Amino acid sequence: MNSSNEIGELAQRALVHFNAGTTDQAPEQMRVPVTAYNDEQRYACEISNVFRGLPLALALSIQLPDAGSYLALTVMETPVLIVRGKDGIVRAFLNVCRHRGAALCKDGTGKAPRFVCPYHAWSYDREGKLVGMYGKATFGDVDADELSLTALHCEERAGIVWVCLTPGKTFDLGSWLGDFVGPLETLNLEDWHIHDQRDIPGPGWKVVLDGYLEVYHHDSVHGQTVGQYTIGNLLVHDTYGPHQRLVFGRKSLPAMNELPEAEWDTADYIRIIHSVFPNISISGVVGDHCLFSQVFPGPKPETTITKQFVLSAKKPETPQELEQTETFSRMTLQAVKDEDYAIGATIQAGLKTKANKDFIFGRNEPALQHYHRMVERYGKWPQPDVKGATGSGEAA
Amino acid sequence: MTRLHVTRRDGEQIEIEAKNDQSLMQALRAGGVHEILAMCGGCCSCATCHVYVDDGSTKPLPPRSKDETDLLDSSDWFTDASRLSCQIRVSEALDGLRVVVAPED
Repeated sequence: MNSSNEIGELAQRALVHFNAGTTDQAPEQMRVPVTAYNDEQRYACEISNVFRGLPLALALSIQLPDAGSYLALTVMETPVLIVRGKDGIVRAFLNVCRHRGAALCKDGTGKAPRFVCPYHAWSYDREGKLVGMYGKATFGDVDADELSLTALHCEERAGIVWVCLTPGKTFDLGSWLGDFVGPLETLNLEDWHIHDQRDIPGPGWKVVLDGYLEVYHHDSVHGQTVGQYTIGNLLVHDTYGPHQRLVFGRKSLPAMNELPEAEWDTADYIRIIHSVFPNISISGVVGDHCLFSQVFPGPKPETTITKQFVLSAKKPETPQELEQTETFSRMTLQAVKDEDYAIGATIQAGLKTKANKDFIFGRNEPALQHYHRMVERYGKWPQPDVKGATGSGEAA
Repeated sequence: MTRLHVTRRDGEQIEIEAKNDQSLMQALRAGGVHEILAMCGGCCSCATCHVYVDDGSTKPLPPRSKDETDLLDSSDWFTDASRLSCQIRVSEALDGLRVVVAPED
């Protein structure tokens, strides 16, 4: 739990590292073959097992505020329709008509009592049941129950809507989140305000995610943006099954050395990142602003789309509040798009050169190591290669 | 022109002077009753133009088709007075018709 006590403890762990010039470390370095990033067969295997086999945090509850709110979105070429019913329950379907397969509605959000196919006006209710067909008497009898929209397993928890993209595949959200549900619930994501949403094209999935999972690069890459506020190469790291919590020290952290404990404002001294496996980063949830990033692999290993939300604790109302939120939004966009993803594009290009057989993850990059171990566990690529691999990097 | 007495979903009562030879759904939307969504465009497949016609017995309304009844049956707000307004033609015979917009499903 991220209670104020725990935030205090995290800040103290960060302070110990700051004073000693240390960081949380993995026991050893780790090597990952470059083929883990660009082998197309491996990619297909991991997309199937990880991104289509596990629950994904597909939407924020605040995107579906009311009964009848819906969100249509295309995720990894899969059209999904998420609807909050009159009963308050959120359901997910493939956004594909059961007659001849047209999308029922365009990607976007709105409120609707029915979803009517634009092709032949077959209509479905919010529970996905077929309720109407144009010219029903002429079409001939059909079994409406058999022609409900194809459901995707969907649950709402911690202000997040979780969906598995494979029809018929279910999940146990409680065991998937495990102890991580506590930290997630304390974020109160259902109370935030969506200030902005943006889709950011980027390099491959693992290249992008790697950038969200270490602070080793902050001084060198983000010196003009977020690095102004964070201490480079200082990480407090905890794992929760496949999920992780990363804590960075803010430049204000040394104040703890100067001030009596009663005057500490520990929430101001650290930045907390919740990393939900396999593709979510919830960054900076201490204070008034937060970046919620969903990284979705493209059709090939070398591209992604990041759907990124700029959240503020409440809707900015005064010009000053608006300016603060806009400043956060601009700075984080610059850090992600012009800094992280720009470096990532060069990494992606370098993969093909065979300059590296392996990438080495340092002991100071424990979250990267954990992430790649989890990809190996859940991705089930049949050739284990993470630890100590030296000769498996050549492309076949 | 045909006069319609309309009670909107929020309770507001208005009068509409409707042109004849269009559907009641079209007349309502033309009269600014935009809570009539008519998502299927008027082809009797969605039930989002659901209204109550409270004096149907005194006006020459066409009977409900099976399709219309089936669709209304999918509504939580189906009553004996329920009609899909896309299935009723406006004509002078309906002058003075009272129409109440049904609650949203």
